[in-house]
Amino acid sequence: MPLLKIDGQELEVQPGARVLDEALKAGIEIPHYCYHPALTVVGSCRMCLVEIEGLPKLQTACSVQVREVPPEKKVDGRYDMVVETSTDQVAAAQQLMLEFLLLNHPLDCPVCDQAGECSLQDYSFKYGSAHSRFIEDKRVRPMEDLGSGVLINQDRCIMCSRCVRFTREISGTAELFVMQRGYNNKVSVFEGRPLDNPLAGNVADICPVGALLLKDYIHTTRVWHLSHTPSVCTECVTGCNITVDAAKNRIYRVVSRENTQANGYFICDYGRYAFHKYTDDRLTRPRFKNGADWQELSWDAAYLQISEKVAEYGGRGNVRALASPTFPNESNFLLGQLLSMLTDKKALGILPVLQQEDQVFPSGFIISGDKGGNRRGAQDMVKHQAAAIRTLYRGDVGVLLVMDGDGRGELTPDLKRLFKAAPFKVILAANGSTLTEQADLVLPVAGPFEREGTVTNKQGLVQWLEPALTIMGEARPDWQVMAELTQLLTGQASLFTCAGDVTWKINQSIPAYSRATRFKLGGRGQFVQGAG
Amino acid sequence: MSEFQPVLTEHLGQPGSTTIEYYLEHQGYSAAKRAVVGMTAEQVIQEVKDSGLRGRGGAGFPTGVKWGFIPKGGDQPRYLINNADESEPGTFKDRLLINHNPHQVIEGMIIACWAIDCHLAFIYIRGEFVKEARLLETAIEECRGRNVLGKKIFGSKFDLEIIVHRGAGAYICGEETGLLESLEGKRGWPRIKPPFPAIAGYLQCPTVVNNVETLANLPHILNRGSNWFRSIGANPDSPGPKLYCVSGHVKKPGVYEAPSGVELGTIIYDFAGGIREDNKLKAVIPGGSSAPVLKANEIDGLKMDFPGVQAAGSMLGSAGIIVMDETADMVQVCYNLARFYAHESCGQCTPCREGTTWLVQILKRLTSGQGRPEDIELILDITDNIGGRIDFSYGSFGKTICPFGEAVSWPVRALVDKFRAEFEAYLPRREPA
Repeated sequence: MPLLKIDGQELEVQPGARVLDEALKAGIEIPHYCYHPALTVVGSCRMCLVEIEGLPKLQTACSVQVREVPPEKKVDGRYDMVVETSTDQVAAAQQLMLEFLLLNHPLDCPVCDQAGECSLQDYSFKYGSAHSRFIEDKRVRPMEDLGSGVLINQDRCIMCSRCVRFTREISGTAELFVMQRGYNNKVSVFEGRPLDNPLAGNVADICPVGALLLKDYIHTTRVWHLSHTPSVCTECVTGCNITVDAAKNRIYRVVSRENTQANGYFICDYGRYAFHKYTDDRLTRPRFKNGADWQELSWDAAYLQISEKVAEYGGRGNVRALASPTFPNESNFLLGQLLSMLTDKKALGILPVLQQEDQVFPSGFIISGDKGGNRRGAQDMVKHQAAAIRTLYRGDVGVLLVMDGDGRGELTPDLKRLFKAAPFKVILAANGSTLTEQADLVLPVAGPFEREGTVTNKQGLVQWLEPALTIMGEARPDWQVMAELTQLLTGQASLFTCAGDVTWKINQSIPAYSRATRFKLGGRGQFVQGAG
Repeated sequence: MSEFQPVLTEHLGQPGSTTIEYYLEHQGYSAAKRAVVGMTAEQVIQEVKDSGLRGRGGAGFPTGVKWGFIPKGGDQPRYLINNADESEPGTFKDRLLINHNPHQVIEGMIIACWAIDCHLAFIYIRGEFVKEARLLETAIEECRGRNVLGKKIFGSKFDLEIIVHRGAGAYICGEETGLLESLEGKRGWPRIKPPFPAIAGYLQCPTVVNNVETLANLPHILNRGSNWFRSIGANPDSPGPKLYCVSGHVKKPGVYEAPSGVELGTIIYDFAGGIREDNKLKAVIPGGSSAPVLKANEIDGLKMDFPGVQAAGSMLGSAGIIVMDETADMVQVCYNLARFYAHESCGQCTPCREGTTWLVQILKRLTSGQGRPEDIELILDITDNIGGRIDFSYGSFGKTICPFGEAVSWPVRALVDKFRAEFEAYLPRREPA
């Protein structure tokens, strides 16, 4: 293993490791723009210049790889490479590079969306100079619409080419390219061939400055007003890690969060913009169907109605239920427990959810066609009780408890038959949909960005769902509603006070999940035993 | 020293010198045939190493050593690329070689291909050389008909094809990795090194990029031996016949062949007939526009080979000698040079993209009478920040990906350093307060 010394810190690294990577891992900041761990190294921004012992010229830390050298070439007889990141020579180079980058930069931070999270701003403050020696006219060019909701502000662009490499290497669509030459270089698209791929939004995430902007977010807020919640996208079974940026209980944008165990570095645009659809027809109070109309009622009245209907339609043994592949493990687990207490039969199915073709990109990034984001988790939670839906409507069906599919539930012929057979249907949902239209009673629960609990992706990675918003109106957490229903229908008092309590119960009850504790999940998740 | 007989330009201007018949009558392809039929690749490489031939494109790297970097064995194809981009201002020797004797260049390529075991070679020729590209294509066609190129050439088991590829006219595509990117059909943006082309070049396979003149020397080295080659010239570290391109304020501009290390004075006054209208010599750029300028008093006894010019603080480069007499305005020279480089900067990396145009903006202001006293220091500082200080002890000190940074910085810096008074004269006069 090569031994690397950076600023006096000794690091044992893998052969071929990049100096920049190792420095960042060790907590040493080397400023950089063009380098991105998921993209090829081009070394074009020249910001990460460092001093390497034995080399008279400054080197780009992104491109230099550490390899074992023969004993006689080792520095101080020990090190394969010795790097200094903050000598006078390096500091001068950084200052000069920033001077070049800012020559034609409009310095319009007060109206720029990137302000507050801009590498150009941060590095200028830390490594730059307060004065510019540039007195000529700045280059001014119009803003362009690249397509897929992405705009480019040419004046702010520093030509790091991350976005160009992204469309070539990750999405494989290669819409973006560098036009013109030298000073007139600009990132653009061919006429009539706009940016058009479902990963396009990522180019704005990876842009280190305020050049690439999302139409959806531009000029809506300032980043310092936003709270950043690390969470997980449940729009498909990939389980991409996201950061939900919200303020005043409203989501402004969703950006990708790196997790090499799940999505890598990027997310798709379906997931990025999914939060918009959960503001439509938000259910905030329980309601029941009174003839053809919906009528709102209180939670107590709703629960009373359920217990009456259970008694009316054949008692506890006739209760049937559908677990949800989009709800967290906790509520699915409690549903399974409830059903096992009500009946010996396999009285529970899993709600059918939209299935499409997978979209696979050249980089290996997959937008899964299976839109039941927590399908694996739901299956694991109710494994021993689950049955095909057609077996459910064949027997006596009384009250049917359904956990919603967040708008992705599909009314398959089997499901239609089940709905027809069930005289009273209770649906736990956050938003109105064709599915909730079928219900007799709707219980409002937390929406996708309000939920707390665990979800399991298709590889078996269990991750913690952190709520970014407080729950709207009178809606209640899904796990809490299930716990209350359990108390209502079995008479057993609920001991759960938060979603984490249920997670703990899952750890105790399901061996494969014994290690997926709230504590161990952290921000990266934990694989279920036997997966990985 | 006996009278020097032209080697590379021996058949210059002879009727029919571009045809294979003419070339075969004059010992043509005998060296290539001898190499392919009778020599091992190692023998050829050793012979070229012994000859001391240094690359004629500008950097002056020993050709045999460059070939030696190609990894032995392995199942990757190897490629030879003949760099005929000849884009350095003041340089027009490769064009002459192709125009008058294309077969000499092709024979050199065959020898190089045999040495590095390459079966597909390219000639990357600049787009403006339309006639030259056609000439080469015709010559290659002639070779195919004579079993000089194609399958089992010269009756051996060696197959070789040569493809002529025309560039689209960018200075930077003469830089070897920029050339490789362009040849692969991409934007001509130089690559970060390492890996060097010898390890991962064209299509990430081992590749040698050689200049036209370098390759043209090879048949003569094999025909007359490495000792003959090394004996030509003033310094055995940089031997061989050399083409010098003389342009600017001389009576007879043109390409002159002479032994390496011939004195610059000889070239200017004897070959090129001296300064026009018998004006006074002011300055000379000795090696293409990216070489630092030399003042008239610096060229006395200057030997035109790689070590000689380097000792004088400039470089032989492509031996494009640009002569300037007393009428030359060095600030305008500087402005003109800077404009060329700003126009040709590929724009990939920051210092060059932003810095070259900044230089032009300042020089434009200066030449239009809007200069500030601090501008002169600023110009020097910007050149330092792009290309680093002028220093030949290490390959380059620039902060850029490719040597373009030095190519723009060094000549500008030298012009300002050596003719500072002329720059100051452009500053607007201030009345005493």
